[in-house]
Amino acid sequence: MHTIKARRLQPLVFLGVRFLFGKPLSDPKAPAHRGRHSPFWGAVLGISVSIVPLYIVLFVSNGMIQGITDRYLETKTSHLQLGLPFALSDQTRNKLRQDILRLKGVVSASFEVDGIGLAASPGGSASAQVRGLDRSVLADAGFKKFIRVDDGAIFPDKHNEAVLGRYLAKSLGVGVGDTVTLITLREAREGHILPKLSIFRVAGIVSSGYRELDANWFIVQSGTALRLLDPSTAYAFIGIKTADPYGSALNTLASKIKDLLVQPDFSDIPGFGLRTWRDIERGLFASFSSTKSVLILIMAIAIVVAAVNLGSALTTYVIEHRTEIAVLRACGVSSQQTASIFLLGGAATGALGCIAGSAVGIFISLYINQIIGGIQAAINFVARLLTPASHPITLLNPDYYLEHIPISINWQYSILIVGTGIIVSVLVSFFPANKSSHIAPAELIRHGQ
Amino acid sequence: MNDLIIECRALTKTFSSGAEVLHILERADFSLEKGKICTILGPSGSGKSTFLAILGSLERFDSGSVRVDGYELQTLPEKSLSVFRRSVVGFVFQFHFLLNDFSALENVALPGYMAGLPRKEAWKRAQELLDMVGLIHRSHHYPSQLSGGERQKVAIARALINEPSVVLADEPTGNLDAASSKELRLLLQRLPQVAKTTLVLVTHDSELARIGDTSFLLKEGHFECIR
Ligand SMILES: Nc1ncnc2c1ncn2[C@@H]1O[C@H](COP(=O)(O)OP(=O)(O)OP(=O)(O)O)[C@@H](O)[C@H]1O
Ligand SMILES: [Mg+2]
Repeated sequence: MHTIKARRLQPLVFLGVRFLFGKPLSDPKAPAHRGRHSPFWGAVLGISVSIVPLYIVLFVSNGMIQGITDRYLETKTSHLQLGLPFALSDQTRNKLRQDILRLKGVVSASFEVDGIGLAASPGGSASAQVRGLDRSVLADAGFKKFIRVDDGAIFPDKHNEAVLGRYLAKSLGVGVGDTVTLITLREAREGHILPKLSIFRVAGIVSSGYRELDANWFIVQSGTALRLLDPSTAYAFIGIKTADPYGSALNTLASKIKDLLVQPDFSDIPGFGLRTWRDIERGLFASFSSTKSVLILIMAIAIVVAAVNLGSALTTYVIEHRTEIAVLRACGVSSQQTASIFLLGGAATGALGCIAGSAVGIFISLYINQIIGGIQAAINFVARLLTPASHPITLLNPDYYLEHIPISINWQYSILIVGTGIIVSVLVSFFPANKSSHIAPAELIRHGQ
Repeated sequence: MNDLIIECRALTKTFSSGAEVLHILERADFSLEKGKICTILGPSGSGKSTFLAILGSLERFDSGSVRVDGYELQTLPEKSLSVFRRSVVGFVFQFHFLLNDFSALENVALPGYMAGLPRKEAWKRAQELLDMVGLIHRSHHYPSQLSGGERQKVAIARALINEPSVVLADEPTGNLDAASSKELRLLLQRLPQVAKTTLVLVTHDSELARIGDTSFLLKEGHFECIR
């Protein structure tokens, strides 16, 4: 009699894999598989299929939010805004800007005056967000990175020139060289508001790639804006960019800027005018993250459903194979060993499903732009075959989304998803494992009687 | 030689289904010497299979004592049962109970591998056993590719993988035709010599019953030695 030491993993893995997944496919002598293993591969498929959308939603929405955030920050909001009194002298404003630029961590600082107006042309009229920019904005790498020039210039060279956002130009029906009228309201005398009409030549048409932003941009020189806009409704500020808008350095910088303001030169500038992008765009990002949370919750429920599916597949398997389990027990395989087979099997199924689903999910996420483009092309091709006169369709309407989805693969999320998937799979496997350990080998002697 | 491998004293086993109590064994005594073949006969329902299950620790009993190869089964804790099963006894049932998704060789090797034999050794020993039962050329065939008699031979080889002191066979020829039964009988007869084991054989087959060194009749809860 040899000494018994059964607590080893290898035999369990051998038995478990073969018991749960069937004969090796590589064995040419093995008779053809019967259908009995399909529920098992079905559970693997179920888990992987439920994982795929989770990845796509997570990465695409992350990428989308990141892309939109970057566009807001780089083309519009800046990282920090320091609100200025409308009547501040050019000299003070420039000195302040130079002082800010000298601070450590500041990449660019540019003066801007924002207000609202009504743009009109023979082709139509639309509300306009008047952005009075300084030429110094062109030194801002972030601004230049995201702004695409559709036509003409990126910046109005003359005070009677304007650069329009793509969709504003579209709704006005104007192109470069055309003229547009801008109507702004300005207090003429105490208590008397009068509309002010100014005519601009369109010098350029630009886009940030996000419709929300360039639907109403009306970019003019800052000096022009100061003249046209009313101090009570317009907002003048210095937009400040840093190397890293997401880090804690932003707050440090904010307090340094506040320190600058104690200089007697800047006594007119209130410290409370300094705000970070998080304060300014708070509402926007709150809605982003709550939308994302709801989506993730739905996807998480899908994973739990798939895991419960796995649990029931394993339980059915135990019930269908109770005789074989009893045989193993009669051969001296302990109840812990048979239970471990189902736990290991559950973990393996979960892991296989999660890894397969992750691979597919990451792949689809990475190539989402090409995939959408491909589907779009295919639909349009078929549509043209059927009705040659049909208009081509656009799946991802750039009115609501970015035209190109920037994908950010977050490996921590992947590890979290795979880990959670495996843990949930093991948890649901406890029930069948426990069930298997209660099968009595004595039933073999009464088999078929 | 008076070396008792199995010794039962005042063994009592009842089954109760509802109010009805079935007395299967009533203070039965039984003993068997090492290396012998013992056949157990008896009418259907007399409790032969139940007795084998008790000897193999598949079934608990009500009172009395059962000692198999030094293990006192009445005091053996639940946890040690699998140790006892894999090291002391080997089962052969009327039905072969081979695992469908494992080849003949793997079916034989598996209990050894699960019991802690190194893989190589388990497979080597399984090969020797298949050779012994005359099926070495069918090692890589699956149960569905073997005949009834061949499957039963593989089951016998499997019962021997952990070198059991006792092989418990419950009507091993019950499902076989005359020719296969004969082959199996010859194989079982050789077991005590080639596998150094003791064989307890339950059978209705009078030919097979004849291979026993001793023979018992189980009737009304008692063993009656008939040879
Ligand atoms: N779990 C159980 N619960 C109730 N009664 C049982 C149980 N198991 C067996 N029995 C009964 O115990 C009796 C003995 O059964 P057993 O299978 O040991 O008989 P046997 O001698 O092997 O019969 P056969 O020759 O037909 O195989 C039978 O009447 C059977 O119905
Ligand atoms: Mg029986």
